[in-house]
Amino acid sequence: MTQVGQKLVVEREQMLGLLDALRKDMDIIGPTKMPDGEVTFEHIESSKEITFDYMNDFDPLKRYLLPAKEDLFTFKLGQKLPKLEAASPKKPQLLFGVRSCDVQGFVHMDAFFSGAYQDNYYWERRNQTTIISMACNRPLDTCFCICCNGGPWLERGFDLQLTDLGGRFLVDVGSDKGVDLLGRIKGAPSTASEKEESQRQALMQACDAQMIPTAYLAKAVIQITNNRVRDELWEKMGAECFSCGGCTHVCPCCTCFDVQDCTIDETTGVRFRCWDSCQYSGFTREASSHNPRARTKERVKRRFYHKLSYAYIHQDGHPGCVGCGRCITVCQAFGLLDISAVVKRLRREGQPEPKPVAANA
Amino acid sequence: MKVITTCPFCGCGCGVLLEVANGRVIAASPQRAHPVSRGTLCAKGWNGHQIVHHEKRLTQPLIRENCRLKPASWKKAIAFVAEGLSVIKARHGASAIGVVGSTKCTNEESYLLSKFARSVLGTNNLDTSARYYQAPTMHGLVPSLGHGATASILDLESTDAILIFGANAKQQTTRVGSFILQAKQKGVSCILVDPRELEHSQFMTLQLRPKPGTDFVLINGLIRTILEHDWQDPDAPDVSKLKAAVENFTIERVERETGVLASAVVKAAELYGNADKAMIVYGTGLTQQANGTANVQGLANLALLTGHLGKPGTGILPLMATNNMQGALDMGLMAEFLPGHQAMADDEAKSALEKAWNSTLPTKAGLTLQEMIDAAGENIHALYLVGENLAWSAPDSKRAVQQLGRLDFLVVQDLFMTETAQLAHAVLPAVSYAEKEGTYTSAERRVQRVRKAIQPLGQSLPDYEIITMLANELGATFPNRHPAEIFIELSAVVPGYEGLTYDILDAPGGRRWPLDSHNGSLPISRNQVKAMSYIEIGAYRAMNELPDDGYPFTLIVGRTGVHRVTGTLVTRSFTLDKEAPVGTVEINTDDARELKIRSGWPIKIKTRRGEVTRTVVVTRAVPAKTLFVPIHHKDGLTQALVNSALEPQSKIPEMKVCAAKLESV
Repeated sequence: MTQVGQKLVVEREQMLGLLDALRKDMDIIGPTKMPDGEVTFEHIESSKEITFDYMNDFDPLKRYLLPAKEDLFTFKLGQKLPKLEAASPKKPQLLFGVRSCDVQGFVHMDAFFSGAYQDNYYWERRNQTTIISMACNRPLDTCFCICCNGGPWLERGFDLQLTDLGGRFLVDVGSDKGVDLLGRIKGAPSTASEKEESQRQALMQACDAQMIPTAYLAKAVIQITNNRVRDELWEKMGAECFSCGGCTHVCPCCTCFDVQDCTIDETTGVRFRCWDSCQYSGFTREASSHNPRARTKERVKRRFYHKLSYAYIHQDGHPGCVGCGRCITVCQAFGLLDISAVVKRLRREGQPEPKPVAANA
Repeated sequence: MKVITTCPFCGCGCGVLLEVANGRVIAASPQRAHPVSRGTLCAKGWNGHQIVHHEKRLTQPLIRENCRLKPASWKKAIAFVAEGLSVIKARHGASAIGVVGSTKCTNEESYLLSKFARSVLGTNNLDTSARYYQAPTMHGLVPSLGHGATASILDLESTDAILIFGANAKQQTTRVGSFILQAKQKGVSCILVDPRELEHSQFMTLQLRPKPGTDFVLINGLIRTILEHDWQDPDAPDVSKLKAAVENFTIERVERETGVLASAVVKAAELYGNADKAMIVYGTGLTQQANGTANVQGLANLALLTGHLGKPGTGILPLMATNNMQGALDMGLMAEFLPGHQAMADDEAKSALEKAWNSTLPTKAGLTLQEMIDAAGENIHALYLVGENLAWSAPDSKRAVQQLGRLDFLVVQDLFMTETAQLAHAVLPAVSYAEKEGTYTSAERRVQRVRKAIQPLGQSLPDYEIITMLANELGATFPNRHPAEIFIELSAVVPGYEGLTYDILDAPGGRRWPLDSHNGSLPISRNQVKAMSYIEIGAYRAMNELPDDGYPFTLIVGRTGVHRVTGTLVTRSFTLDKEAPVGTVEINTDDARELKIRSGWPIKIKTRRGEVTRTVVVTRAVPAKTLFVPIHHKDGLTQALVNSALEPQSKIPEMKVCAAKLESV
């Protein structure tokens, strides 16, 4: 009887067969190759469409739990009260091959959409989502998940976690959902042997070792939490930033959204929510037109205060970053304002002047 | 599902992936494999797709009956438009009709429009809003350096010095701004020439802040300084005539007339002239002036003199501000040029075109865009306007709208009921970039694929289909073709596009024309560069309208990242519309103190042509007695203020500089 926490071994064909079998019950989303050679996670009709030759989708997987735009409800003005109609129900979906950094991003999002307010739009989707993740055997040169509890493999957050041993997977069972999935696999999965577990350990250590820990977040977290960063550095960064919003779009930990009403005609409309970016000037502009963060400098500062404050670590055990490295690629101020660069600059250029010490008091 | 396409906003030509679900475009993300954008986008690239499903997209043709625009079938609408144009042609002749194309339509559409105007309507009154921004490039850069003179954006990665003239790259062509910042980080000398302090000014090696409209003196001063110090390329073409021509542009004169310190002029000349490899990048700050063409010619002379041409890391890059301004110019949407920038007087070119199009073509150059507006109601009685919100983009816009009102027949083809469409007799609904196949040509001559992601909304149609229907209704036999086939025809007809096919263009980043480009910034060899000659320097023309007692301020207008042209698209993106909700005016700190006004206060700006109300921003970024008003539409159009006086050579309006006064609200 399979249990959560167990480690099993499944052949690649078995796993692909499972996906094809599940197709009738849920949407299957997995990594596919695009015509330009890049990979993206798409809805697939058959497991044949899946590629195992990939590192990660540049488009973050959070879009499957928090779409860039979703209708919340439609409204129609009537005789007495307006008629509200909820948006269409969410369908079950399985995300296959998700990387650990994105899974850790989901963990972060779960925390954000819970707490005092349970976001029912998020949770309706989340509860219908099954995650089969794929640990990374090697990193990209932009990866730094080891600095952020983001990988290369995780202890929790997935339903099943796969590690590619070469044509077969070591499977970590993460949840009851994962147990159910394995129950539907053709041919019983075998328990992982000590040899296979060691093989996985070796792969993960090799991946770990290849990662250049470019982001010593700890030092930056301390500086930010203690509000000890030279203002001149934020001034400089504010001038460098192009306010493109790319960082917030690609970040697995960015969840801010705007809610707007759209009038379709005299009597009908729709309320929707959409991704918003703290890097855009409209983010906190108030109805009076006062903007607490009118300057780019203030918005850039806010981003890193938010991401690197100790609050997340204290609350959730990890910073507001998973080390996926997407912001390094997406930033127009190349090499200057992605989180790994900022962490380095905080350390090197951000230290405030030491307080003068009285001599011979 | 992801569809790989090209961004429809500026001339950088970044790769965009459109996410499609249930027949709708739901998101956009950057294409990592793109050779120029490499996984980046600006705010417009990220959010621009939101216009595709805007609730007010035009979805059916409209024709005006009893003073009101009413829905009609395509059959009826096309017949109505064809009839209207035929009546005007019969009554006043073909030269009474003007055709204004779009700097945002695909090459296939611009090509068909050029063919339609010339061979079906029989008019050379043909133009686009490129006239307002880059006409001097066609008159100044191309004749001297050849068709296809532009450098590559990627040359910015291997250059040693960049001279930036009148362009706020960070705001208007973000990817170029990104490469400039990256270059600066690597130690490349960056020299910015702009009267205002820009956000990236602090990163520049040097900024020259000439008085608005005096760049002509500065550029020739730089040439003279380079010659004086012997900083020119030893292999440069013979300089004796050039030397004589710039003799009067001493650094004392430059300092006196432009306000730029002599030492700064010398420094800039040295940094650019002495560099191993250097580039020039320029924008509308330089072109929208009384000396627009002469300014660009001066840049060509500068590059020729210093040998910064014809090899990697060198060249001149005009920052075409829209996705297909370059393509529109290439396809011949100009009153005075045939496709491929061939002269109207070139008999060989003309007969080749007549053969290709199986039609005789009108011989005389036609009216340019501003001339058409000026002639409305007199020599121009009908306008066919495709993808251009002229009521908001024309200078002296109040008058422009009055002029449009004098037309007997106005046809507008667009995605939305723009302010121009509201004036029209017929409105034809066109599709967005997400609903058609085609190609765009970016500022660096990069021809790239636009790929259809969803079906056209409602009854809207691709411009190439609408133009085909209209042409055939007027007696032509344009075949109904897929854009790939239109492209095959245009590649055989338009110089520079030979050999390009959709297969070749399928690769990420398409291909820069011409196909057999030599490696480097010009599709020509160094030997060809050596055989070029300098352009004669004409007389300095002062700006048409300078400050005086009644209007004591110099008014400069310009763009922001969001509002670059009319805002027809960005105001319809629910994210971008929040980015610049009000228009501002930058007022110098000393002037503000004298006038006793503060940031955040409303103020009225008046010129001889119009008035707007804007929110004050007190700053040292603008020089004393100078106002900077970004393009905006709330509480008055910035375009209502600006001057429509034409620079005589390229017919670009002097939109950059005029005289203004301030009044309290």
